[in-house]
Amino acid sequence: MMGMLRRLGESIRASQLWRSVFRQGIPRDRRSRVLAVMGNVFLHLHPPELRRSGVRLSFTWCLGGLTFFLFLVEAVTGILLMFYYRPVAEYAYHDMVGLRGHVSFGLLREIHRWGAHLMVITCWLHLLRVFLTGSYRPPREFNWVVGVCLLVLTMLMSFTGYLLPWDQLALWAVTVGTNMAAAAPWLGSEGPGSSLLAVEGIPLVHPGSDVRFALLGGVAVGPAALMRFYVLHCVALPVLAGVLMAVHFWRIRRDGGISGPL
Amino acid sequence: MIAEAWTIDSLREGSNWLAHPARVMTICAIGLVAGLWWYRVWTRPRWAALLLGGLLAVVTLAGLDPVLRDKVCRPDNLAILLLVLLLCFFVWRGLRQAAVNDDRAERGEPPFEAGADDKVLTWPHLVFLELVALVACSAFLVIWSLLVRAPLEPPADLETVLNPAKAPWYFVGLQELLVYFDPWLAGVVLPVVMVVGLSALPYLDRNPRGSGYYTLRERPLAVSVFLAAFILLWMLPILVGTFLRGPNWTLYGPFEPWDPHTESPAELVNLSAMVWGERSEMEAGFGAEAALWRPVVRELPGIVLLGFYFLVMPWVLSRTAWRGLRERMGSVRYLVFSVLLMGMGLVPAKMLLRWLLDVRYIVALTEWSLNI
Ligand code: HEM
Repeated sequence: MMGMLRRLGESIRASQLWRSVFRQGIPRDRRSRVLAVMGNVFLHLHPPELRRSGVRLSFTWCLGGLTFFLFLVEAVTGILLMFYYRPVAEYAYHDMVGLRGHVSFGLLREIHRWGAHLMVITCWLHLLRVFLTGSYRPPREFNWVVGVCLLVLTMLMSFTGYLLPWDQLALWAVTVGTNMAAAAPWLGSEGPGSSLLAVEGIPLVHPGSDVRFALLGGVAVGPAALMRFYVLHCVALPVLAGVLMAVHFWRIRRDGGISGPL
Repeated sequence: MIAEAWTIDSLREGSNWLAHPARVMTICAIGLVAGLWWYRVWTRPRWAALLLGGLLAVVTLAGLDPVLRDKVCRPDNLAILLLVLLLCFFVWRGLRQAAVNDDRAERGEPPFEAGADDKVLTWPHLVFLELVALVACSAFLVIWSLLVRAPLEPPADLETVLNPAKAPWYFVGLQELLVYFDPWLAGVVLPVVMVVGLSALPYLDRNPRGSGYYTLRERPLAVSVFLAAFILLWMLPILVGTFLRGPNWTLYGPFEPWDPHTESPAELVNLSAMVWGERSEMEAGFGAEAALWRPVVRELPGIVLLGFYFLVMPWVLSRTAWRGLRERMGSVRYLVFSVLLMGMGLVPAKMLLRWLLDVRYIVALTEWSLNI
């Protein structure tokens, strides 16, 4: 029995099909292990060899990697959610109710929502780790700055997604958040300095022209805001974050891999 | 039985009393200072296990109370609970590893992480670790999703104002700052200071030691300022805003149900009124069209105070306690550093002024909605 299975396995691994995909057998010696990492587009994110301290779980806790993994989880579940969800005030809430009851594998929304929370958490903890190991020191300063941009983007992705269920929780949370924009100095209608921006007594910055209006497409959260947040959430912010992550990962390698004592 | 009920009730009342932002903040600040001072002691596994046991016991005990359980178990709030537990763990591990390294340094040994030539292959070492992390994370996420449904409240309705209306939990900290600051500061300027300050960090921290391994002894200022900001000014306001603020953003103890009641608002006064006296000569007769200089003169006490705080204090420090720091940084870096640090310090400073002296605004240029 075992012999038959082993022979089956061997013949599969010897087939043209298998070898066209994997190119080589299970890497057992040093040379083939290096080749396995270099020859694979995904594994190739890593260098073939790294310092022992950087690989230790208690150094990075894999927190950056998990943040990236959660980003991918959000992308996949997000695309599936887009099959069911319409960002239109009349439909959005009903689509949510439908997702709850009628869609099989009804965990989609849960995984997407809790995954988003988890991503914010791992991102913050990753920041804490990078700080505590002093890993922002030269030559990694710029990658830290890229990380700060990723932090802001992560929170904005989460925030724009918060509106989409179009329920009371979403509406008022986003109202609270975007009201702050109206208080921006000079640019918000309720902020300091905006009253000084007037031409012959006619204010330039008013509720119909300030940054909150630009964000919401109106003076309050409404259908236009739903559409804007949807586009930001599903397209603009993730694309931007994806590009910055590519830069982040590229720089880790250019900066000499995971930091360690000199 | 009666005695038991009495103890539990007084425990509840005691916690409700303790749960004022001023007291919570003070306790946590003292805890942080003590934790950083004695980090080599309490991070030892035995002590840490004791502390962890204590923390879990408190969480479990508190969770027995239906009122508090209801607040914590609101779906999105579970994320905060998770964050708090993970944060305790990682701060402990970070300081523990720092303690180990600092002990080694005192014995003249290199840090635990040392050994630049000590290389391992990505396959299988790292790939295997990543696989385990990924599977564990997925399993955790799926179990969480199976156990807790994503919340869905009644449909959005602009006519029915939700009370309390809270921002998503990761922004609740900023919302909590609205108690102390006008929105242009709490929602715009302070977050910008935070993001700019974080980005500037690698360019300001010129300490050559302590890069690439956990340590506290070799960078005490950086680590303590960062942890203070991270825990006291970032995490704590989130907890206060989420668990202690009820309808109308009124303060409720953790064991008090959120039945809407109106708290008699504290009498807040502006700094200028404290100096000149309420409704003084200075105050009378200022309309919107008042001459430019008059509100400025009225608010002079606050302006002078802020000027002292932002300009004179860093200057004095650079000549005294922080002389070495300034010399290491250079003038430009020191200037940026002090502006950012003082900007951050404005948050606890304003909180203290509020709690101790009921100050509403330090500078109240209400005419131009420029209140600080
Ligand atoms: C979406 C958010 C982010 C993702 C996906 C991400 C991903 C990663 C990954 C995979 C690593 C490799 C080491 C590790 O896993 O710890 C890493 C390292 C690093 N990250 Fe991030 N990161 C993010 C956010 C941040 C933030 C917020 C910061 C800091 C403000 C930051 C700064 C750094 C730095 C400086 C390194 C190099 C660390 C070293 O060499 O030890 N990253 N990041």
